[in-house]
Formats: sequence, C-alpha cells, structure tokens
Amino acid sequence: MMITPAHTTSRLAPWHWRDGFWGLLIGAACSLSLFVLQPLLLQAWHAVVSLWSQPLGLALTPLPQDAPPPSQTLMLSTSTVVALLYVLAGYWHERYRPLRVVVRALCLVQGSACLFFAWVPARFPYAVHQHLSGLLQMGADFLMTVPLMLALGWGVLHLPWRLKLLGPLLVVAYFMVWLPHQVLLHAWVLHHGSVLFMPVLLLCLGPLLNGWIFVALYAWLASLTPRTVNRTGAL
Amino acid sequence: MVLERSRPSVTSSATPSASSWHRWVLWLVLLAGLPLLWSERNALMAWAAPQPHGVVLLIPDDNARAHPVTQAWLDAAQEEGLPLTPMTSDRFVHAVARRESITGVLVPDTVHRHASDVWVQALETHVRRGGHALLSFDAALFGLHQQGYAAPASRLSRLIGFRYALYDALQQDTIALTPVLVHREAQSRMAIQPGKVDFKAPLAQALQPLGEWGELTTYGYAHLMYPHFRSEGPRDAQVWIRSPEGDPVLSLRGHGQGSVLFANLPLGYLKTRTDGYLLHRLLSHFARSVLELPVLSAAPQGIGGLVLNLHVDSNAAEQPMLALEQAGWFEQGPFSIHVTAGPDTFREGDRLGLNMPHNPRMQHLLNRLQAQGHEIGNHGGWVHNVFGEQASDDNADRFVPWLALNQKTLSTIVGQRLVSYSAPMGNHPDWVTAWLREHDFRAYYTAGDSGLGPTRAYRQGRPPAPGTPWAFPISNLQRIATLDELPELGAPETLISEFIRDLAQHVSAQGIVRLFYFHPASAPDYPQSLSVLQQTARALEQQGRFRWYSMQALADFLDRRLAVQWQIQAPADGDMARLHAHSATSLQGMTWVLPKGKAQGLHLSVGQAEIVEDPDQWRVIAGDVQQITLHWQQRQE
Repeated sequence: MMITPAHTTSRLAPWHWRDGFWGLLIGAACSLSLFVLQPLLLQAWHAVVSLWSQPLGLALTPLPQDAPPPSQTLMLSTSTVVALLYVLAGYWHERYRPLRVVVRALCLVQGSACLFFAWVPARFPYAVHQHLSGLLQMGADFLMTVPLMLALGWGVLHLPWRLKLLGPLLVVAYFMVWLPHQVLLHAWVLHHGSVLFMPVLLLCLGPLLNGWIFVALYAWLASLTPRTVNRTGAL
Repeated sequence: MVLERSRPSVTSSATPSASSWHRWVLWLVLLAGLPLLWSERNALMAWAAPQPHGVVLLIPDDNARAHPVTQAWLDAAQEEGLPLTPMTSDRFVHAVARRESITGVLVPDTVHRHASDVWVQALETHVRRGGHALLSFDAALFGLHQQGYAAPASRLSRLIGFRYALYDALQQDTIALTPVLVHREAQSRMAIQPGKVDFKAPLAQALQPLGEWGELTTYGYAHLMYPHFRSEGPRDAQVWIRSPEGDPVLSLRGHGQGSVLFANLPLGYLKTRTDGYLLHRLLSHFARSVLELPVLSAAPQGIGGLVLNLHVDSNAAEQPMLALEQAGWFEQGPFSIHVTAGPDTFREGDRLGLNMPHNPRMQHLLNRLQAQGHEIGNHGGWVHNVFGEQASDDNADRFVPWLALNQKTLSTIVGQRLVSYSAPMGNHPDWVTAWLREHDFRAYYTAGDSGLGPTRAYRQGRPPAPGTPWAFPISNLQRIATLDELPELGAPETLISEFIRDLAQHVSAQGIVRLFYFHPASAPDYPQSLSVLQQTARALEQQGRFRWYSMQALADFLDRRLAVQWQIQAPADGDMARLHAHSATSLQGMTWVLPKGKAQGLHLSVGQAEIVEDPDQWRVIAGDVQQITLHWQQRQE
C-alpha cells in the first residue's frame, strides 16, 4: 500500500454530497444562462460571420449564391484523392490504426457524396444558407448543454468551487469563439470548393468534430482534478 | 530461434492467408476488366466527352414528360418550328458541370416548381457563361422536398433582376390577377399581331407617356386577366409587359455573358386552358430573335397568308353571296366557306334558314364555288342560333343528329365529304370535337387561343386526343373578331379596315398563317373592309408574299410537317453548321427559315431544295424528297 504524502492529504477532504450538489447547481445555472442568452449569442455570432465574410469574399444570403455545383474536374480530382487516400491508409503502420479509421470514414462519406453528385446532382436537397444557419443553431444548442454535461461528468467531483466555475467557463468561452469560425470555415470551403463537400463538412467536421473537441477538453479538465483520498487517507 | 521464425513465413507463402486471397482475386478482376475497358474505350470516350445540346426544356425528372403542361410546351415549340428536347434537372446540372454547350434553355411553369439550390446555381452559372434562358412564372419557387416557398423571394430573383414571389411579406397577395400592358417596342420586337394590343384602352391611357403602353386583349372579354407574381424593389431588367400596378410581367435582362427572358405568367398552364398566344409568341421570339436559330415554317414555302372563313348561316346570306360572286370576289382564294344547311335560323320553324335541300340557287352556288377551288365546310347544327345558344356539354344526344344532318346534306350537295367545321356562334362543347374526330374532320374554327395559327388545341387542361382535327383560332381585333361585331366597339369601319390590312401585311411579313372570318350577310354593310382585304391580298400576292389557304389544305400540310424529323448540329470551331431533315413521306414544301445575319454560304449536300434569299432571311424550300442536309457558315458572336 502506498502512503499518500502528508502535505497532499492535508489539503484534500473526502467527497461529500454537497460537492455534487454545488457542481450540478453551477452547471445548471451556466446552462440556463446560456439558454436565456441564446438569441443574443446567435446575434453576436451572425455579426462575427458577417464581419469576416466580407474580407473573405463570401456572400452569405438566403439566395443561393457562389456555391457552384461541382465541376467535372473537381468531381474527378476529389474522387481520385478519396480513392487513393482510402487505399494508402491501408498501408499505414498499425500504430496509426485510429487515424486510419478516421481517414477511411471521411473517405467513405466524401466518396458517397461524389457518387451522389455523379448520379443525381440536382436532387441534393440542402442549401448553403440552410447548412450554415443550421450549424450555428446546432452550435448554440450544443453550447447550452456543455456546462451541464461537464457538471455531470466532472463538476460533481470534489473540487474547489472556483475551479468548478472556471473550468466550464473556459470551455464555453472556447466554443463561443470556435463555433462561428467553424461556420466561416465551412462557408469558405463551400464557396471556393463546392457543395460537394457539404456532406463531409456536416457529418464529420460539424457537430461530430465539436463532440470530439468537447471530449478532449473534458479529458483535459479531468486531468487537472486533484487526486481524492478516502477517509483512511488511502488513495 | 532463426529456424523457428522462418517456418511460419515458409508456410504462409505456400498456403496464402485469407487476406492474400482477397488481394489476388482483386488483382485478377482488375486485370480481367482491362480488356473490357479497352474494347469499350470509344463508348467511354463518347460518354466522357462534352455533348452539345440544342434547345432544351428543363423538367425535374422523366415522369414530368407526361405532364400536360410539358406537352403543351413541346407542342407549342413544334408548332412554332423550334426543335425542343426535354432535359432532366440532373442531366442539366451535369451538362453545366461539364461545360457542355446548350443552345437555349426553357424552364416551364407548373411542372418545375421544385428545384434544389444546386439546380438554381447551375442555371445561374449557365447564363453567366453566355447561355440564354426563357423562364416562366413559378419555376424553382419551392425547395426540392418542400410544399412551400424556398426563400422570402424567389431564388431566381438575382438572375431575373427583381424580387418577386414574396410570400413571407405578401401572403394571400403574393399573386395578383390583372390585365396586362404591352410596351409598343415589345409589340414590334415580339411580332405581336395587329388587333391584340389596344393602345387606346382606358388602362393604357392612364399611363404616361401616352401611347407607349397598350392593353393586351382577347376575343369576347372586356379584359384579359393574367395571374402574375407581385414584385418589389429596384428592377434591373427591361420590362416589356407589365401590370397596371407596375409589376413586370415579361422582362429581359442580361446576366454575365447571357440573357434571361422571364415570363411572370403560367405560360404552359394558360395554353392548356385555351390561351396559348403568349407561349407561342415567346417561343418564336426566343428562337428567332434571341437564339437566331433556323425554324421550320408553319406555312408552305414559308409564304404567309390568311384562311378566310365565311360563315353562311341564314337566308340573309344568299343575296350577298351571289353579289360577291358577281363582283368577282371569289376569283381569289381558296376560301373556306362553311354553311348551315337547315331551313331555320333563330328558332325552329322560323323559315329563315338557307334550307339547302330545297334551295337550288344556293346548291348551284356551292357547286360553282367548289369547282373554283374553294373549300365547302360544315357550319354546325342545322338551326344556327338554336345550336349556338343551346348546345352544351350535357345535351349531345339532342344536337349530334343536327351535326350529322348538316354534314350529310351538304356532303350530298357538293358530292364529297366535308372535313372542316365551324361552331355556330363559336359554341363548341367537347363532344363536338369528339364527333369531328370520329368523322375524320381535318380542321375546325375556334374562338379560343385567339391570335394563334392552326394549333392542336388543349381543352380544360388536357391535350387533344390523337386524330383530333387542327384548331384554327380566330384573329381578334381587341374584343371582337369580325365585321358585324364592330358596333360593340362603337368604332367606325376604318378601324376594322385598317386591322384587315395590317393583319394581311403582318402574316405576309412574318410568313405565318392566320384565320379571319366574316358572315357574308354583313358584307353589304362593310364594303370598304372587304375591298381593303381583297386589294391588300392581291397586292401582296402579286409580290409573291401572300397566299390564301383553305383549312383542309393547310391541315394536310401541317400533318405532313408534324412527321418531319429534323435537327441542327451546332458547328465546332471552324466547322459548318448542319441541318438534317427527313420524313417517311415527303418534305415537299417544308421550309426552313434562317436569319440572314447569322447564316451565310448555304449549300445542300443531300436532297433537293430551293434556297431563296429574302431581304432579311434565307428560305430553304425542300423539294419532293425524303431527306435533305443543309450546311452553312454560322456567324459567331
């Protein structure tokens, strides 16, 4: 049995139900605030998108502008790249297996999009402005759940209340900056590329990517958590 | 250790693992596929190469081909001599993506309400690159799987040059129903025929500057009302037709290197409801003026003319007919002379009819006229006004015998079966058309589609059944169409005299055929008009620019014309443009009209045809052959 150094055990008290209660309360309060402030938040995000869209030469209106249907060259080059990437991923070393899975999943999604546009391009039912506004709305909804999710998975631990407040705030602040810029990135790709990339952007580089980022940030927060001791002083 | 390690590798090369087998199979399949690809290389190259397209009618998918409105567009194009092929939305997006050449794009109303943003963007891209498009009304208003408007204003607004279809803002007032006003310049550019536009109508007089706009009219209605989308904001388009409130109803706009003609009217729908005039006019204008394409003329030798349809419906017509004969009026022609043969006119027993079975004078007259080459036809149901006022959709049993009796009586008198018909008082229930079809009639006069040439008339949204006779619409002068209706306009005879002269000159200049009709009974009251008609026709005829056509002869020609298959092959760089036409019977008299400024160096490589040079066009008149191939140098833009 390892003995915990005295200077550590002296700082940490054992977990108590109040830790969980206050953690949940802080998380719920943050989420509620974000729910109430969501219209303002969306307004601010739209302003950010508009601010950047001009220097980037993007015309973001409900009218379908500047999101051309994929040209034959783009279709062929994308299909070739997707096929090559899929095959090449098979030759990567075994230690890159997670990356291979991710790359091949991206290839499958993009390959499906290429097939769709090669077969029935006019039946692609989504519009660029719908994609972008949908992404913003999904981002805002996701952001609202972030504090609560953090509270349930991390905030209920025995932590200083300042940390319980600061952690979610930092994560929320990160997403508040990231999400509108993610939308801008999508808009830029769709504008300079084509709607051919909309499926992969939505399915892989939209909410799913945000979920992964959240998991990464959660892991980072969890790594900051001081180790807890039991009543006997053992870990 | 070394031996132990080497054993598995020896074993694995002798007995391949499952994954090795898969790879071997994959390679074998690929190797086996190579010869197949090589043998089909030509087909693959052809598939991959950009395909040139002629004028295309965009439809959402193959199912839309059978829609009556699609058929209406195709029929109208065929009648205007424009080769038109349906193209699905997917094929169109492919064509734009592959930068395939498309001569012209038509987007119909009603059948193409739903469209994706990709399609809208493809259309915009096509026009921006130099394509020409004719769009109609509600094209692309809805999203692909939506039953509502896709955007606060039509997604085509930017292309068209103004915001319209503003459902979010206007709700029930999104569409207005009003008369429409035609700009004087548009009347001439679109070759809208005399009598269709009334520049002295009160609505037109209310607009400044005076005389610039005129109300579009039709036969029998105080106002011709059209549905159109309201619009808002600045208009970056040339407006040719507008509503009294100022909403554009027909507009033209250059976009990038191309142009868009937007008809804010359900053109195809209107054609299926007996008003095809604007659809036909716009198709003709688009083909001849915007695309500058060769068109297959609807007149033999491309010589325009009139069908003069005389309605001889009571004994009041007897003396005037004889007088016209004596005056030498029937030396021109052939005319289509339609007769009501019964003994009564206004009511049964009034004895005011021609009573043809017992009227030797009229019998002899008809025989003389027929011998002169005039066409004798059936003017309906035995007792003119009773049929005209009482025949309806549900009393065919009563009136079919009258039609049959009239037919039998006149056929017996002239010694041959009559094949053209006109409805007493224009009253033409659907069962009459069915009866005409069953009795192999070739043509009938109609009060619908006024201003059009002979057409396959749609009724109540349905295309005509196969074998239905050709409909010959009347040519309207504002709200009237003949001499004895002039008092309804309260205008002097000079109005209709001028109309007749202008109409004859118009059909001559345009190389088209239109119908004008009158009742000989009214001839003594309008001597000046009939004289103008006779003199104008004779003068134009002497110049070789006018002909009289009978309904039967023209119907026969139009049937032969329908059987002509033809296509234009656009020139590749430095090549000649090529037109190939063939028919299972004969191309005799079929005439292709080519704009002179666009084509030069015409010559035939196959068949026989006469190439006639007019001041502003070429006419290629086919001889009695089954196919011709024509080449010419096309002036590039």
